[in-house]
Amino acid sequence: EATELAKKYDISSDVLEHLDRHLVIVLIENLMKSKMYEETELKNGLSEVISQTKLIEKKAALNGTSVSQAEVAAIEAELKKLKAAAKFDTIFSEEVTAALKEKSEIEGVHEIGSQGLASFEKFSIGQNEIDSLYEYGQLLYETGKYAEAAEILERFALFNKASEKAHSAAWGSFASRLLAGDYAAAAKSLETLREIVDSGVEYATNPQKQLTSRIWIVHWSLFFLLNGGEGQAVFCDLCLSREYINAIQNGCPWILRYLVGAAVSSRQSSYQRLIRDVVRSAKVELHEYSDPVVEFVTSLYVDFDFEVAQLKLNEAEQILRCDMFLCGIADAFLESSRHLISEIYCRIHQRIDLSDLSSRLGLTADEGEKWIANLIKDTRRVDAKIDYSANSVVMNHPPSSVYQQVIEKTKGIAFKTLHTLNHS
Amino acid sequence: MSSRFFAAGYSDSDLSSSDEELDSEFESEQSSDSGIDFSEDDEDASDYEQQPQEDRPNLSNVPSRFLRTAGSDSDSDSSDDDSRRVVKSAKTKRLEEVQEIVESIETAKMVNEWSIILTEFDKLIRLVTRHAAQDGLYPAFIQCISELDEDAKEAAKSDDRKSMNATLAKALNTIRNRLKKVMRTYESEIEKYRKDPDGYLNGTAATSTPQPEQTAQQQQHQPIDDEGFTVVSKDGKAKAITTEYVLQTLRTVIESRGKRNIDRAAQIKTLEDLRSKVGSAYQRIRVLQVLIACRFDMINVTANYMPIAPWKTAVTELGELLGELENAPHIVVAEGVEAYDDDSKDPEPNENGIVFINGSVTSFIERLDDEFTKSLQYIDPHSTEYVERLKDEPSLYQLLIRGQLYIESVNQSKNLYGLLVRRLEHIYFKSEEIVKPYEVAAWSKIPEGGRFGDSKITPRIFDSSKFVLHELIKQLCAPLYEQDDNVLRTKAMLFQVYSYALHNHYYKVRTLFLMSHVQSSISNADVGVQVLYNRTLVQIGFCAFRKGLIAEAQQCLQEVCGSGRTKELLAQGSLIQRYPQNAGEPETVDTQRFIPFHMHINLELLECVYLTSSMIIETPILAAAGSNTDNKRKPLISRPFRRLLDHHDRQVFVGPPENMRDYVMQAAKALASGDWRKSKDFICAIKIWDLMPESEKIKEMLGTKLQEEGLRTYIFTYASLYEAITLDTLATLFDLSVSKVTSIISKVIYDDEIAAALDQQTNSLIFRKGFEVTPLQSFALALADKAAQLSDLNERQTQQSQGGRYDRDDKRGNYRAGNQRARTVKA
Repeated sequence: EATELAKKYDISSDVLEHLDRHLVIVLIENLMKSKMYEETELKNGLSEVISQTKLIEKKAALNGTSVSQAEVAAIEAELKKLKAAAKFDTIFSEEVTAALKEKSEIEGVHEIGSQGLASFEKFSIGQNEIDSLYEYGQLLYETGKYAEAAEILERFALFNKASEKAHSAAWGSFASRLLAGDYAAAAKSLETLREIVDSGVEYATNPQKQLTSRIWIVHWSLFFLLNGGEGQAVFCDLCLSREYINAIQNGCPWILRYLVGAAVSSRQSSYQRLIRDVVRSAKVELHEYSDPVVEFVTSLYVDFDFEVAQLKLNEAEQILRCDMFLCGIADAFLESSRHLISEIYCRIHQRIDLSDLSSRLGLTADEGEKWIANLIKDTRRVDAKIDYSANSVVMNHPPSSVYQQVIEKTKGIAFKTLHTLNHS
Repeated sequence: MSSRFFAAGYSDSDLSSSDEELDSEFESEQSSDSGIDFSEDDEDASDYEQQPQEDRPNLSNVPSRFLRTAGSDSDSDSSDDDSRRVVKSAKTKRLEEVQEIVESIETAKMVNEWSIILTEFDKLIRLVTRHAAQDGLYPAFIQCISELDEDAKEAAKSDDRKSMNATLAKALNTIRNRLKKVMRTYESEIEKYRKDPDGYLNGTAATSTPQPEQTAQQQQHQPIDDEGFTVVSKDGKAKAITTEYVLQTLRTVIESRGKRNIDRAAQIKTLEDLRSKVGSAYQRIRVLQVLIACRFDMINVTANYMPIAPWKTAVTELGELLGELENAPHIVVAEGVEAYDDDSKDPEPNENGIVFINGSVTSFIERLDDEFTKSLQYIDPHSTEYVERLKDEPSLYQLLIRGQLYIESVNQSKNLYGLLVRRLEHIYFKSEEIVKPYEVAAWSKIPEGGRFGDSKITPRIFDSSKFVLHELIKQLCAPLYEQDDNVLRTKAMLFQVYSYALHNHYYKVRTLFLMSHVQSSISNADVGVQVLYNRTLVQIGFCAFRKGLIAEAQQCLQEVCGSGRTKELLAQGSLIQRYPQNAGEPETVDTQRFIPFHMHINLELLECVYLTSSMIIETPILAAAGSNTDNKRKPLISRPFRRLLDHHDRQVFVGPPENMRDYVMQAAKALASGDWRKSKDFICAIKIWDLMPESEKIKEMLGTKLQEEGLRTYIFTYASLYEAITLDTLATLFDLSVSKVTSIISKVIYDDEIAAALDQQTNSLIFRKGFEVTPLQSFALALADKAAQLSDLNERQTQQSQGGRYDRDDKRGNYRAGNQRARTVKA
């Protein structure tokens, strides 16, 4: 039954469309575990994707054959050739590293650095070497040596920041870092990539291309969710920024599920506040895309309908557990949702029926009591007492002082002004 | 495109209006000539431009000989004489004037005062040209210029010149230049004079009228006067209608186009006559081209639009022209083709077997379309004449399609887009049910399978039940989106949005509209596009309103209605003359811009929707602002609404509502007092809702909104009077379900709009006490708000000055359909 529901709201195909082949492979391999699709179908798809790459070992494993030594040798030879052509050792020598550092300090990100290559002539590095370096990195990526590929591509990008190839190198290194599982470095390459897409000439003048690229970035960044807490933060920061929220609304509303999932389970109140804004204002967008995860938040924040919220939460749980990116945070999501519900519940009510609250949270009466007791104990957000004889919780809403309100309203001004000063 | 045409049309009026300042016209003769040349059908445009003087005498050879024959046959042409006698006294006066000037020139010549001569000479030329039509050439004038020419030559040669001072030398040069021109113009007359000075002076001066009139007269004679024809044939031309004859007549007509004092009706008669007789397809097409162009010439300069009868004829003829072009695949009408000036035979096809004719089918169609719009602008919309005129639209629309098919088949894509825009202009504001018969009728008259039988852009609809308006509009817009021209793209987008909005596709509208970022650039667009933008905005507002998205509707309409200049913004009429000092001119400019009546958006409906939306949004807010009687401190959403409400409040006695505004105001009052049923009754009693499709559904939607907002208003208004209130009571009071009431109240509580909380055990709303703020506290809060606003503004300012990196419209505006600014139309 759970898989039925997950299948109904499945968005893997939408996501797949926006991923690189290598990322697709990871996704399909995960899907095979979830048993939502016919295994043969997935296998066919997988072999098709793999056949377009140079992942020899995977290919062999899928077909059940042994690795063809000749192919391996051919690729090895090719790698060696490119490595030599790129003067690998020189490029990674200390002198060049120092020179590159100096260069990037002088230049901005978007300045054309073609004349910059001249300064590397003394190391006998020219356009040819650089191009070979790029090809070398590409081949490494193709053959699945992601960590190495990332190093090479990042180095390549340093030489010529504004060129078309440097941009594809940025994409390449981002994918490599993600695939290699090096999320800290991936976050860095994400920054570079974002800057390129936000203000690179060919993107800024072509809104269509910019939008598509942003949609791709959002999809690739889903892999951050595999990284637990920190990854969630990176993903939320990305998606909640203005440009990307627009991109999501216009191009890929299904990402809302991941955004909501990540933001809610993060337990960070800043994200949760933002998500509330997003859902409220994006309510209009929901005619295009909706699933229980999103509906849960809407029913909670927009309609204040706790019955529906409860229903949707149950459904959402099942979906999350089947989703490759979200299954890891399903428990956190559930826990966090309960907090949200009880928080809002307490805020609105003066006296709450304990059994009612328990059912809202999907708990038994005893569990509910324990839950609320813990909540009162742990957090200072809820000021309440349990009236055991009446089987209810009594809230104490302290009147918010006017002076407190004034302070709240003016709190951000100094920071904002500083921010404005720094950015003008 | 059309401007070319106008150039041709206006050059005519130019000539007559600049009569007074012939000086300047004289200088710019070349340029006004080229204005005429632009008219497509001027077959030998370049030829004409380069050597007009040689051409004209050549031409006049035939007619003048003919005239003279007629003159010698009947020595005293009685009718001619009569007319001369009538104007006699005036004529002598003018003659004396001329003589006077000639004399002063003579005197000045004695003392070599060339600057005086120059002024007098200019005067003379002006006089002569002005009166040439009535009096012909004055012999004295011919004598004068001929002598002047000789003297000037002598003066230039002689040694005096060196001793002359600079001004004189300059004047002399100018005179010589002007003389050259004048001499060329009157070459034949001067020739005659030089042969026999005395005889000329005494003799036949009166017969030598300027050439244009001769031509006209000749044409007048030819068709009407059969005798004239026989004279010609007696001269030895056995066959009356030859290729040469046709082409020459055409040339004559073309060259006389745009000149003054031409009997245009006669010209058209000639051409019509010619049309019935010509043989080859080439000739037929040529004659039709000239004929249609001449029909446009018929428009009186002072008339506001082309009379309807010739317009209809022109439509038929243009249809025939397109038919001819279809039947003659080897002939292509194109712009910028080299003129063909051999009058003796039809041109040979080029190596591809194609004959190119200079001209433009699109400009004809566009001109007809313009005239159609103009006529609708000026005809009284409440008359049957207007309705009758509207019935001509299908034929025009069909012509647009046929033109499009033709252009597509000959691949003149740069002309295509104008036609597509015009086709869109005819359908974008209409509902599918109306466009469908248009399309079906238009296509049914276009033969299937012919060369122009189908279109790639908008394929023929074979099964009328499958017609979908949005498909058609999409097809028409698609090629426009690919153009570099920003205006085309913006227009196409607005057309599409308008049509979507009309058919309630709100979300498509929103996406398309916001993705286009049109609101950031619309202020730079021209007035027509801005008007279209405003119209679209209104339509989006209506669409949102029908969908029940009151806030969105209010925001869209705010920009147009809030200004109080709705009429102007929608180009549906201007306010009462605001600039009485220059009343005349701006009015005509405005009228040209106005949208024809049948395209108007009902202003009362617009106001009604706007006020109702404002009421639904603003009443709860007013209630929340509470007992605070100081009006200035209440948040302002809609200024017009608030003004009406204040006005309503000030009335001593409130009678039963009479008009739409009264109804809305009393509904607002009822809502404010918590009586949603009464409010709904008032709103539903407004008759104008019937103009909206599915008005019942809209009233129902409004009823629900009033229930919800009524509940909110009620809570805000009476919070201070209650200790607690059960949810059931509220539910029955507002006829809502308990869960709905809970949801609404929860929201209010969560947003901190009231100090209250729900008690789940008694299922009631409990108000907390002790929140009354002192004046000092409320001022402190207001100050804090202002400070926050200030910092917000600062931030926005710096971001804006940073330029394109932060597009403000990207931000929150993207969620709301707001942030759109209606563009003001400035005269």
